[in-house]
Amino acid sequence: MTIAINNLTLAYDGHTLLEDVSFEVQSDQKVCIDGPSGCGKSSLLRAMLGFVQPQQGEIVIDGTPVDDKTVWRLRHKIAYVTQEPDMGAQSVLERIRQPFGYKANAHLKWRPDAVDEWFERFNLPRKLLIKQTTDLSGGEKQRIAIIIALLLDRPVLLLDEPTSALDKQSKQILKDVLTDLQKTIVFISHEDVLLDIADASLALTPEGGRDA
Amino acid sequence: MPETPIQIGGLVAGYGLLIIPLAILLWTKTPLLGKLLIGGIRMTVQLLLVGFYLQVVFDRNLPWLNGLWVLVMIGVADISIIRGAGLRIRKLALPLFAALLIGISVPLLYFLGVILHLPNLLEARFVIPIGGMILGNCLRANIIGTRWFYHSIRRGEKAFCQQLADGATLSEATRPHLQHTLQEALAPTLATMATIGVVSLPGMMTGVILGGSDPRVAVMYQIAIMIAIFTGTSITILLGILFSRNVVFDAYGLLDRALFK
Repeated sequence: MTIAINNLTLAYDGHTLLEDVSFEVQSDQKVCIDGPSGCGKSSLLRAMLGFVQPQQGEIVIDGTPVDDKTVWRLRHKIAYVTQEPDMGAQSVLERIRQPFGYKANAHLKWRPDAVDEWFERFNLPRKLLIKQTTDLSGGEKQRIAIIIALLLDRPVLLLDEPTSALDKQSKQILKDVLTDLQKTIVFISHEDVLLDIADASLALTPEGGRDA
Repeated sequence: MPETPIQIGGLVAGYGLLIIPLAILLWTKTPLLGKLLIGGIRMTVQLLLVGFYLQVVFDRNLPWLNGLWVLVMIGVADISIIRGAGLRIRKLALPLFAALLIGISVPLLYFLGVILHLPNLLEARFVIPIGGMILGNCLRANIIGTRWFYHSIRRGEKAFCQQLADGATLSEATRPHLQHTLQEALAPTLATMATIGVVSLPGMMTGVILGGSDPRVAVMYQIAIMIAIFTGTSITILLGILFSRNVVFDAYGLLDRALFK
């Protein structure tokens, strides 16, 4: 699934975050977005999901421009892991099951064995499932958010600094998992461990432009 | 008419009772004196004006005038709920008014028509006090509910967006908030239902007893009004959120920040 960013300008509260950026992500490509804090990296991912609207330009996913009509359908093709995930207040199992109750995911079969497999892969104990999400550490939240995104099995994966709270071992596990995935993956990261798997990168300048 | 009406002299004596809280505030130097004074004056002026107006409404007993008065009460409650919830009036006024109108009318007309078997549903001495009682209790619950719903989504905006990203429709993403809102808003009414008559003698029952009726009649009125209040509260909260949801979320499913003061 392809993503095209065409002359995109993003602003928030009158402050320009991203200015006239163009970029293309090919199907099944792994692309790293890098740049200093506040240059609009997270906003760019959020714009792909319609959480930030462009001032100018457009984002086209799988040939369809993201707008108020198409965004609801396009979201079904994207799995998103935010930086420092907020999981509300519920048990971990309830949080993992939550998207499986949505009509958009009715085609997905709820497989507890798949949850167990991913927990094992990411070194998470099974007893964590009955824990409250509010009691999780940053690293646990991040791994669970990644597991949910993987369980949704969507063609596009957007990851916003997915290793920021992970230890060295978990970072390596994530790298191995992402390497094996045949999906279009766009991730924000400053970590060498993930930069290694990128087929291409988009470097943004402090002013929100694209670094040549 | 109560069997022992309060005379003017008696009412003046009633104000005399205020000397006690006044003395407590002065002795403890609690800075509430001004508020007590303003509150007392406002209460007196408002109730006198309403009393005079209601006397006219009751004397004439015109169905359209009685219905109009109920609409005015709903309008005032509408604004009070939005203000009390710390939200802006512009977007919420109309959907909340519609929710209150339906939510109050259903239990009120049921109470008057099915329970009391009144031939004239807009009879002033029934429709106004009973409508006011249902509305007054709904008002408190709706302030709690409306505030809880929108502020909890705003506080958890990141989690809310994650739900949308996970594939939730607006209805699916707001459902957990709606469940919590109903829990929070209905809890005080449920607590009142559980303790009523034991902890306090409720207003409706007091009124019926003061009116000279048998306590058993008063109890039946009270049971019926509590059920009507709970029904009205549930309907108004649910409809208030469903109706307003269409105007306070944009086409991308994001909550309009201009909603908050």
